[in-house]
Amino acid sequence: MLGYLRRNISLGVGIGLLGILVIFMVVGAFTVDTSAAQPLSVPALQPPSWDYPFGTDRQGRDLLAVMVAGTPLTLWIGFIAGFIGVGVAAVLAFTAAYYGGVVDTVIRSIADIGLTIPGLLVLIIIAVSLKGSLTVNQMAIIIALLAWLSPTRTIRSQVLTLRQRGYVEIARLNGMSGPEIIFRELVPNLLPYLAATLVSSVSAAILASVGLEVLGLGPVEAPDLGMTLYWVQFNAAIINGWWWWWTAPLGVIIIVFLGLFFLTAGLDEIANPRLRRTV
Amino acid sequence: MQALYIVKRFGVFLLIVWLAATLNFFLPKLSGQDPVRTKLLEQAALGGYVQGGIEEMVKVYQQKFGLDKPLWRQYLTYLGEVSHGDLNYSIANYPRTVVGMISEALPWTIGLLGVTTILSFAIGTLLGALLAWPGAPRWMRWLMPPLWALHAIPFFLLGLVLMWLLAFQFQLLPIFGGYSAGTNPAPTWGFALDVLRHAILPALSIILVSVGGWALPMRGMMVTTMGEDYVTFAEAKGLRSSTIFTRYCMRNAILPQTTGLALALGQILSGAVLVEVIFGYPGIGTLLFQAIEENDFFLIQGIVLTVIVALGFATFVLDVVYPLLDPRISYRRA
Amino acid sequence: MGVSTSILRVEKLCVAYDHPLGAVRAVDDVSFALRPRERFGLAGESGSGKSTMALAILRMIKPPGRIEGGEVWLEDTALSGLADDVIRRLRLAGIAMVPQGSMNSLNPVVRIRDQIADALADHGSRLSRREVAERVHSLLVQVGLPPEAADRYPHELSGGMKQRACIAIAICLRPKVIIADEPTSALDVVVQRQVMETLGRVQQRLDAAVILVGHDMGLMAQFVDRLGIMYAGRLVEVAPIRDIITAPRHPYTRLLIDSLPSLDHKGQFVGIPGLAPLLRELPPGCAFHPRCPMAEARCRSEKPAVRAFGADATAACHLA
Repeated sequence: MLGYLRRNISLGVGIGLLGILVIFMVVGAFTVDTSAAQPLSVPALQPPSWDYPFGTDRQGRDLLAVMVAGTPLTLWIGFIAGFIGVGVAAVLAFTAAYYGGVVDTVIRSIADIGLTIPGLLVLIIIAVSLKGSLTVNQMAIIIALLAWLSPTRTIRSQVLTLRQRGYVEIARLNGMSGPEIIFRELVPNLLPYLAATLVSSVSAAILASVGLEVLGLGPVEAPDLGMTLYWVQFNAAIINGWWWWWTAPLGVIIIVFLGLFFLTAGLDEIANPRLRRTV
Repeated sequence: MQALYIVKRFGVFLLIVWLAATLNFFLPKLSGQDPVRTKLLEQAALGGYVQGGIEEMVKVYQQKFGLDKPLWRQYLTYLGEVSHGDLNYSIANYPRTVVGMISEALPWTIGLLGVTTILSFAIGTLLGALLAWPGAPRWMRWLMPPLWALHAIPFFLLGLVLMWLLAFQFQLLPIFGGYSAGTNPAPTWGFALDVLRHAILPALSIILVSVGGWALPMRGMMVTTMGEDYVTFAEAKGLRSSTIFTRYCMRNAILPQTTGLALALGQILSGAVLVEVIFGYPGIGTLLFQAIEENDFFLIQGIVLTVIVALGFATFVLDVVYPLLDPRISYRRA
Repeated sequence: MGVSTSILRVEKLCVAYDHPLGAVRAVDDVSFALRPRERFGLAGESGSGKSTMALAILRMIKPPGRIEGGEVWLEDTALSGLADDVIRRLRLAGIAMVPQGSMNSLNPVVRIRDQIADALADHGSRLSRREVAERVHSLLVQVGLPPEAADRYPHELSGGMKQRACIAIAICLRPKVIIADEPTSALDVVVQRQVMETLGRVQQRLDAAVILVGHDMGLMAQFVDRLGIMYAGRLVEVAPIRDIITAPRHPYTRLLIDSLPSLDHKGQFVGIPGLAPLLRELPPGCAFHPRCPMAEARCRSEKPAVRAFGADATAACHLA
């Protein structure tokens, strides 16, 4: 296994980065007092010190506690939205690609048109209406509403290529029903590809959630990464020289994105042997 | 046949606009909030108004903004207004119109996005092509991993880092805005230079992240193209290396890239919105941010609609141009 | 095979491909000479090395392949010592290749006219636009294509037309040697004949020599003067076409001729038992011995040397 990781560098780097995050979250959950992630818990605007390794922000939050409490929240939103998105996408894509005809045209057209409209904007419209009363879970659901569009398209084209392969025809001639073929023949062959799509979908969902939050449209109470950046922006932390306030969430977010990115690339390599080439 | 294709594509464009307008209209209504009342209540809370007069004010405003009529009438009126280019007044900045505010901000965004998209695409594609070409200088290989890694992070995050590094720490470039505070926009060289200085950081955040996204697929396409029979024959014809690179390889490899361009526009725009907010760049993004902060509902709606229309139009143009680039795709079949 | 009477001479050419499990010889010690205006056929199964030969002559072997040894002479010039730019200019102007046009050999986004014009331009021609157009026109007429084809894109032409367009490109600089690599493979019989007639016609007009690479023995019999047979990277026999058909020296050649269906005698199809060996795992001695009906002990241990039989023929067999 380790040997493979050394050859598939992307996968190794991705797992490594995400592993660091997981360790951070787990160790932090046990050692850090997360109630300090709420406002007015600690003295405000302290630069990093032994007491407060990540410093504190203007509203009196201990930033280390914020990171420990907030990172799982951001990841949670991403995972929920990503999973729902890819789940729905897979169902739609398999149905469209396998049955073809009108069903295919309808699903494909909706996905195509939906993709032309920039998702962030639609999310903004929805989120603005719910401003101030949004919870973390609601946010995940809203993002999931749009998360299925792109994966539907890509999974569909993959299924279409597979559908023409011999074993599908044989299965059909053997009397297997549609859903049976889908589950027994198509899905197992597409698992690596689905995994890669899932990871990239999670990444996109996290991006959307952070984007919304930086604009101030996220769950205001939650101390997650995007909201922290919003407060950074709100308080002009950069200009005021409170560098610790934004380096912590920025660093964590960069690790999250890089980790997911390399993981996707690594899974892509597994899914498509032709990509196995050094950069 | 050519005309039919263009008409079909335009039809799709209109469909998108209609869909966007409809979503724009109905989605917010689902939450049951009344934008005018919310705004007024908020202002009342800030300003300490007496609660009594609110209801009258709400009624007057509702009438003015047409919110007291039955839903289907509102919808039709909305569609009518939109097709005339009337996107209502801005609630927070009354009596300024939404269209007015957007027209001020739009040129900045178009300028920034237009230039950065073209530059990223050109640089990224050329870089990707060179990376695949055996004759290219070796040091270029080292560019790939950092560009690829940069590509993973959102524009605005890089923006934050660049801002801190170049504007704050080293004070090389201005931090904020589209032009220096206090100056009046004027068609002079001085002003143009000022605008340019202010645009560098936002532009860099977008370009540095996007380049990797264009380069890597282009490199892949080039490798595939270089293996094609017609490239082998081109070499057997004794063509010059540069001819083979441009006319036989790049010319073919770039075709799938341009479809990618049409699809990526939406994403680029979403990312650019956040970049503008970070840098206080006076474009659509900052305007949107302001509108969200101020709960200026009509402005938000107007911006979203404008952006969707603009993107739909750009996609439409690209759709029409693509068959011109690839002679194998006839207008008839597309 | 005297030096001064050959237009193209290949001498002990070896082409190897590097492979993680060991280098593989795709072309093993091949020598032959091509006379001016001669039609030389190079036949063999897939994987026998004939296409690699064609590329090697043009010095177009790319890593992981490399020319391991030997020399190619064009008239009196040794090609291995030439600079890259000199070799580049020699391609098409001295030795021209006609690829399998019906496949993907033409640039899909460039018009036929421009695919001829860019060859002219990159070889230093200074013709005006109109002169180029005239040249293109006359070339198309020579190969039997309508002049309108100049404005077309490759996908608008049929397989046979594309092949002839490739011939037009190949002759535009009046080369001395034309290497035609399976020019009729994907075409139907009627079109095949048209293409071969075109090829023969332009060759005569140019006074050029032709190397026809392929695996269709019937086609070879109708077109070439001399035929060379390749097996597992070696040139196992060369002889004038009539002699090869009536009195082949190498057992492989004999089996090939025997396998051709005849209009006179009806009977069972006769094939050659077994499969061509993997170049990576060549049998010791003569590479053909596992499938050879006449193999002796000597064949299993000693690799046969190439022996000459008169000025026109060679064979690599202990029993020839």
